[in-house]
Amino acid sequence: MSSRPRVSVPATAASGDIIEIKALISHTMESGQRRDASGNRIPRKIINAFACTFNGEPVFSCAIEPAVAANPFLSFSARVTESGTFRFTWTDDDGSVFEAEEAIEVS
Amino acid sequence: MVKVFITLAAAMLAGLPVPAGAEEKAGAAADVEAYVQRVSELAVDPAYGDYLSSPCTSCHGANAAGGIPAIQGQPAEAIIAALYEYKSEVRENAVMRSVASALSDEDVAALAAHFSQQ
Amino acid sequence: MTLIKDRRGAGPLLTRRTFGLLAGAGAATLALPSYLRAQDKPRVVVIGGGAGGATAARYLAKDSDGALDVTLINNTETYTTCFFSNIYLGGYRDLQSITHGYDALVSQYGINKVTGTAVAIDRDAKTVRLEDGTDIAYDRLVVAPGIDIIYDSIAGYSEEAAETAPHAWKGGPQTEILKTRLDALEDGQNIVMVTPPNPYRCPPGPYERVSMMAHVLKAKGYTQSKIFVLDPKETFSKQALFQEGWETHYPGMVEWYGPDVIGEIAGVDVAAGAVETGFDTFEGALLNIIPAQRAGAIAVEADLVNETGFCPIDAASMKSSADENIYVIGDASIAGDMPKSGFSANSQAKVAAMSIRAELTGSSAFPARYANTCWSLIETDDGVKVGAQYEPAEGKITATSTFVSQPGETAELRKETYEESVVWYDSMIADTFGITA
Ligand SMILES: Cc1cc2nc3c(=O)[nH]c(=O)nc-3n(C[C@H](O)[C@H](O)[C@H](O)COP(=O)(O)OP(=O)(O)OC[C@H]3O[C@@H](n4cnc5c(N)ncnc54)[C@H](O)[C@@H]3O)c2cc1C
Repeated sequence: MSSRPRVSVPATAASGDIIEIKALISHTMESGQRRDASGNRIPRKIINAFACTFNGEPVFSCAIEPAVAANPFLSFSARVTESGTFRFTWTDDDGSVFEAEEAIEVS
Repeated sequence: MVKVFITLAAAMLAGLPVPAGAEEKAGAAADVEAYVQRVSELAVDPAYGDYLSSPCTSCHGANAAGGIPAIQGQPAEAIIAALYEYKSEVRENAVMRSVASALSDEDVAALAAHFSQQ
Repeated sequence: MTLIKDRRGAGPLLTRRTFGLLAGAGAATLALPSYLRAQDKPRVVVIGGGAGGATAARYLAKDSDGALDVTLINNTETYTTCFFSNIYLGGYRDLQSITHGYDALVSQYGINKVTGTAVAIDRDAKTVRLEDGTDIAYDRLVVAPGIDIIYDSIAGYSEEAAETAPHAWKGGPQTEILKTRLDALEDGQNIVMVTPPNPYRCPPGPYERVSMMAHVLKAKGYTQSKIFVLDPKETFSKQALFQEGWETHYPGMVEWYGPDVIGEIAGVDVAAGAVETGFDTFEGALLNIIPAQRAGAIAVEADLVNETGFCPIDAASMKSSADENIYVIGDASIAGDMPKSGFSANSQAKVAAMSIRAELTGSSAFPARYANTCWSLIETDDGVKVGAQYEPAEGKITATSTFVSQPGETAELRKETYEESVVWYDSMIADTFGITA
């Protein structure tokens, strides 16, 4: 099952506005604590890190713990003063990185 | 790009286990006989038994088998004993414990009379 | 043996058995619809032949031993239950096994079954108008029309759109559309389900449906398809149980999102297979859109509803707060702590029937008692349940003792729970339609 990120950023804003950014990724977030039907531990496989940048500058990043439930959802706010592009990255335990980006027009 | 407020919301709520039902009461089994004896002697109104039995038949059909037993035609004593054991949480079954907990002794007597005569 | 008298009092006495034989042989002597014949018995008319209405008609006829003239109006010849329609969706049953007729109610209980739609109630004249213009007089009326779907509660949705993106929240054709479309999905194609806001028919129903759709996809070996569940509610019935079940049986397949993630459900585009939310657009080859609901149109038309769109009732009898000659039962009623379920409707019908008999025949009236259990199937042999006993308290139907399955129960207990539901279904049908299996 592929991990598909979804993000939401307003298309436009006025300079100085505080905007809400939402980011969601479909991911089972297998904690490593669960056992399968035959009692074997299911290996850990989670999204362990998330980062958001704006025009290359870091906006927000965090480490994500195994205790976080499936399909982690983050929402945060930022004040914008110029047009540009938000980039989002999610890092999987297996090294894969999932990316999304969203542009905003600031007037 | 200065201010960042964060809420990390787990999109899926974790299921918190709730402790299992109350412990079985050890002395209960010994009391069954006395209870059956007492309740069997209560006077019953057949019309009340008819009415009280109506919710039972939503699950206990005359031909019920397997998951839910048929109770029609069972001896009154067996019905009284069973309801007592659900009430006193000797018998397991969440639905029946809930049903029995709402029944007075008069109710139990009326139901036993009703179903034993089906 | 109960005697059923000819209504004019002049004809022969028919025993229940003879009556049944006559009806079976074509009922030539009863050619005139009974509701047009002269009356000498109190008349009870029931609108709606579903879980509530059919039970009410059967208990009124059965317990009054022929002292009441009971007419049951339903707009269809047969009734396909919504309960167990998810089990049908999961492939455990066929549609035939959840479709039932009224023959036994007519032949064994002497109930007049009218197939037609009630379009108006004249509360002063005490008559029900059918769409063909016939008026049927009543002394007491039971209104049990179930729910109506409020199509325009979701922008872009309509009765027509439901042909492509079924709600399947009323039994029969809608359920079949959903089944056909579900079975046609290919691996990698997604389902988007929009669940209704409270109050709605069958609180655990949408989540049992998710489970059954996931079961179908999993059984076909699909690994790429997803089911997105977009919910206007923060929490839902048996949530911990369902979510645990989805993780165990269908890991990664079901994604449930509440309003904290998706915000508002902005609208649907059925042709594009898309649901627009305040957060993002969710796309699927199959959309199952379950909008908000209200009491069936006839209850609205007769002014029995309040601002919630459902009908306030007296908790001790199920009598309408708006009219002393009318009782409202089932999904159309505001039944306090009781969920809108088939079991609840069946239970309420018995209290209403008891109260009506007491009013019309002088039989004993007893304090109201209600019960409900809702079973749900998560995966083969993994059944869960929730329920309660209820009594009137402070003007409202109030739960007196409740129970719910627990996360982490043994497979054995879950299997027993499922087996209970199977017996319940058959018993419930026998209790409602008088059909002995
Ligand atoms: C997917 C799903 C799963 C469910 N699972 C369960 C379950 O497991 N257990 C459970 O207890 N409940 C379950 N339910 C809920 C249950 O189906 C309803 O609560 C129940 O059917 C309500 O009964 P009712 O008599 O109020 O309405 P209905 O059963 O809908 O009956 C109303 C009848 O009246 C007819 N009618 C309406 N208006 C008129 C009119 N003007 N003239 C003539 N006829 C009219 C309708 O066509 C219908 O036949 C489920 C529901 C759904 C959708």
